[in-house]
Amino acid sequence: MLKKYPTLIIFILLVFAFESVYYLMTDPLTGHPWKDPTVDDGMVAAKYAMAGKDNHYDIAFVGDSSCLRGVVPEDFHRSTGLDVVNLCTHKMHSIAGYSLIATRVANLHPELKAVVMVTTPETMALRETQIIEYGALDKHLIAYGNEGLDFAPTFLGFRQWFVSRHAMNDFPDKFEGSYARLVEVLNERNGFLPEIPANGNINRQYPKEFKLASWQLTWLSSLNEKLRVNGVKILLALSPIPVSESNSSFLQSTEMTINELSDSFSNIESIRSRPPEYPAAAFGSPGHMLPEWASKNTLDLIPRVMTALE
Amino acid sequence: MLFNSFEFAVFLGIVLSLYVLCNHRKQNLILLISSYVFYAWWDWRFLSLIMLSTIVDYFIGLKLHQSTDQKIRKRLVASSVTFNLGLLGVFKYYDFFAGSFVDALALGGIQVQPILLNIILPVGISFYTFQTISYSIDIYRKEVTPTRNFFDFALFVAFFPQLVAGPIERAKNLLPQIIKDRKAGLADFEVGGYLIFWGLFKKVVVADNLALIVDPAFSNPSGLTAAQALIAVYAFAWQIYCDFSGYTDIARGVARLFGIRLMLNFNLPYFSLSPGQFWRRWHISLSSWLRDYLYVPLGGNRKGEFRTYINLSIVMLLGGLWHGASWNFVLWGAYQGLLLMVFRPYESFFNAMADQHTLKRWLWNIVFFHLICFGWLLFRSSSVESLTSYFGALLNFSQGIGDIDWRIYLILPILVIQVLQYWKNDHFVLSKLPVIVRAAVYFAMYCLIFGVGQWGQNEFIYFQF
Repeated sequence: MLKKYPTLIIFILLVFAFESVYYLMTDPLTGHPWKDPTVDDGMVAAKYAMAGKDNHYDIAFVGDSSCLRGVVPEDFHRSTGLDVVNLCTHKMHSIAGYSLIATRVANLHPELKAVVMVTTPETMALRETQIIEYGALDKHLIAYGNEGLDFAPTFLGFRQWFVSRHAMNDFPDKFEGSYARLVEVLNERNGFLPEIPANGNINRQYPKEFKLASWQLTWLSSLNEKLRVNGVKILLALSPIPVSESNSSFLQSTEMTINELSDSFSNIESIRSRPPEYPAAAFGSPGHMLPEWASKNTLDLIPRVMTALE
Repeated sequence: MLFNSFEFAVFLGIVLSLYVLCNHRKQNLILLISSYVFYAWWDWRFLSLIMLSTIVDYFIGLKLHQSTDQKIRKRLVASSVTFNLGLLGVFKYYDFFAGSFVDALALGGIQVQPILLNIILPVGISFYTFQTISYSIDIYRKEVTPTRNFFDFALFVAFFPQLVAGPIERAKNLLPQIIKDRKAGLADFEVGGYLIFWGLFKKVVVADNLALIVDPAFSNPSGLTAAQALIAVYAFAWQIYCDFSGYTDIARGVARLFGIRLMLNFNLPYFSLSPGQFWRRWHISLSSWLRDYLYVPLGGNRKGEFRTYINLSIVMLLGGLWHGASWNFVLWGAYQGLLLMVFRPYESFFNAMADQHTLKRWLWNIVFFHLICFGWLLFRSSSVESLTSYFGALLNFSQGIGDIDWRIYLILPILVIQVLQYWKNDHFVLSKLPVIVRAAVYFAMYCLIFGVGQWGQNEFIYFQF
């Protein structure tokens, strides 16, 4: 074989050697430090690493980017003295992804009292096909394993993982210009990333009725069981949305659904089932509060969390 | 299902596994069914068009062969041509001509509401209709004997590697390969694998990255400096080449895995020194089709200089229109026709120059490349306004050079390899390098494919034609 196809054999050996060294020397999801990841992959990798850090965590926030930009751990600590970490990532990581992070932080930090899941209603309404097509969850599962939760990645996920792990990226300036710098900033702020003001349209069209995706529900159920064993409470809170007259029926149905949801799980408690309405000026981009409003949101959450923990 | 997609890799794996297990008859059936599945993946409704075209030309072909009456034969071939061009006319050109007619009336002050069909363009229609037209004409000219086996003919029309973007195969080349028993050996897999790898490199590394320079530049040229605008034109020249020739390479490679050899469609076109040479090297299956079935029947160069120029103009205008129902393609065709006419008296001079490796030859190569680039500027501009705006950007010297996108340097590896291919007159020159160097080059290509390749499922440009 070697005599007949020497080039092919050498080529395969080169690829094999390269891939082995690359896998052993870099982060399994992002390929860092050999290259910068996409912002989405980078955020998941950074928060996964923070969840595994040897820090003292009393409360961990998980959720989408409305939580990433909207919950300030330092404000929480200043008011309560509790050690808080923001492990929120992005919408397409999905509740399944947040559950993986939550399980990891709970497993590695026995001192943890509660996991607070903060998302926008849209994140809760995302369907399985949308999430699988996007690939963020599958890539997480392939790179870091499933943390004991019962789920397997798809074939499509393997392709997406392989391609994104290898692809070179220009890390955008609005995310600190490089992944290493982003990680530094996140560590300095316990996972919080301030929103940058932008002049775009921050409004979203909301349907008349809120529909929780059944697949997301499955994951909440799974997380409920997992964290109940660890003795960690799960608190559910919806993020603020821009004020609009057309929101009322949507908000009402959201509140009803989330309350029903928390009633059906022993370890899940809803602490804010109706998204507060903030003025449009509070947002830099859809779902993302500006820093002063993020502080206001955090201060609003503090008494709710403390009451739930009593 | 794009060649650079995960779905296609799975599809090809399944088809190939079934193929190697079967005998020749069943192999053809597998290829036919898989070709229809491949096409239906886009839009199953248009499968009926291919089937209709297949049935019509199959029977016309048999009748043409049987008939000895010249009048009947003429009618038969005319009906095949009319039917296929009719399909093209309705699905590709009707709305364009109806809209243009109404616009022309409006210029004269007559306001009419156009009746438009608003049908989406069936992918590949320009390719398979030309293929079936050539089949009927070749039988009429007694250059080809029709096949009696309907399924073999159906496979000739729909063979999936070349169905949606060519090469436009001739029955003389493809049909005998379908009819006769064939075995794909290891050598076929070696060549096929090489072509697929090379085509993938051209598409995902070069073409799709250059698209990131080209698309924003052409959608908003007003903010560009002259250097940026010029670089975007160069980028488009290489994008369209790598996109289309990359597709063809993958198509030829995939066909080769089944033991079928498709024709060469691109022969290092940017090494041309004249439009005549360019059209013998660019989209060869289309330019030779236009030569054999349009230019020659029109009289070619046999009826004097004036008629030759007229014929060249007609052929290139229609060649431009073949690329799409839009005036920019017509303008591009007219420009190519003009180039052919201007260069025609000096064609033999440039042909002789092509054999020399002198500085003069390479300098002229660069000049001629810019003439081709000017054509691409017409081709890529979607309207007269955007074209004038682009010209404005090309003259914008007031803001310095501006930021240059690093992706433009991805042209360099292609250029180096092509110079080698041209120098050695061998498309497979990479496979003749010393073993270690060759493996290192393939490894570098692998790193680029996965390191900087764009895997965002970008369609091939020529699908829209």
